[in-house]
Amino acid sequence: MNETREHITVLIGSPRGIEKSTSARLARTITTDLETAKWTSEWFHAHHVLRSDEAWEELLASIVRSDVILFAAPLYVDSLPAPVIETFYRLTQAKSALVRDGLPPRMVSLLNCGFVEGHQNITAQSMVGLFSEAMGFQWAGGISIGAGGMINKRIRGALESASRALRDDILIPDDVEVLTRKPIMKPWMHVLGGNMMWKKQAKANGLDPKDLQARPYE
Amino acid sequence: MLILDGRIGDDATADKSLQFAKEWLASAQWEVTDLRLSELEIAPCIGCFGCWIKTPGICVIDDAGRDVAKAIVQSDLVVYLTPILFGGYSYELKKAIDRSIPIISPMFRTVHGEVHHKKRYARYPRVLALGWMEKLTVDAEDLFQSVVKRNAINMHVPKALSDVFESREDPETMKQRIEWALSKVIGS
Repeated sequence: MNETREHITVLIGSPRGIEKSTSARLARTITTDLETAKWTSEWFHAHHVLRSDEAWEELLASIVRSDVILFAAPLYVDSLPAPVIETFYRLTQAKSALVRDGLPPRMVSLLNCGFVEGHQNITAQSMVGLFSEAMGFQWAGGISIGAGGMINKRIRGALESASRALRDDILIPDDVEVLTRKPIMKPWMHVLGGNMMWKKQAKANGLDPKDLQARPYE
Repeated sequence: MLILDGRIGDDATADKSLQFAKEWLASAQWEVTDLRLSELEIAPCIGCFGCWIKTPGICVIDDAGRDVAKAIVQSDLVVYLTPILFGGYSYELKKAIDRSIPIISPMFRTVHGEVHHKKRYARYPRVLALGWMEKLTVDAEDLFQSVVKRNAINMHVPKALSDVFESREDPETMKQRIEWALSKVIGS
């Protein structure tokens, strides 16, 4: 019997790539369950596909046979990292070459930011939605994670719920937004802990914590 | 005064916008530097945070990205010229903006209950973002304006304004709108 397996294209938009980034770690919490359910997956790094014709062609081929496109990236200044915008732009330019049978793939966006509030990803999520629309994909929804991608049981539950939705061929359900809406800690705690972390890292680099406020261009 | 020209390739709308902005600013006695970003060597941000915790205030990548960040913080006004892509800036402009995070502090604070970064410098430039599309959509226009507003919070911009138009806009109308926007952002 020739069984057609579901396929997911994972596009990572972090400069740290597929091996080391928070974006890829979060994406794996979604794809692991799908792979257990016999889905195939191909992973691409936005920064790399811009430099490699071979990787670019492989990305296009993967998109053509995809049921789902999972995009995962960090928030960069209320938006997407520049190489992601270039990748998206080039994909819209190549759209006419992406000929496929059947329904267009569903696109889901998984963004993380350094602020404690996941909702600060909202402008970038809307950009991915407009890219999805420009490509003619089905927009399945966005998942926004805060606190530098730290997850707890509740956030993990949201990612597992998103994974089930993709497997069951439905849009990302509302419970994902409900589960991710509340920050994993109070903003004041994040400010306190985050600032301690920066000072500790400065010391590890041989700096006085006061140096963090240097004004070299004044 | 700094103009960051984020055009992608040849772009008649960028030519016209740049011309109108420079003419008006020259008539108002502003000293103007315009940078065509696609012609500068600016590597993408590598997300290392070195500009915050290793060489505070200076990006670890030694290329034109450093010069742009320095020019931004030393300006009174920065004008973005950009085709609108997915409701945001072009990747040429965004590359420069991503590399400008050394000008803010890594240290966090809360603003109206939301976490943001503290200032590094005592003062920051005003920003006027001028964007265009072949055919405007409400979604893209709203999103562009939201991005400029959100950037203003995160980058400590004291006054930010945006305007969007279609590439086919009548040049005289475009000129008037750019002049109005410049006078408005420079204003009080």
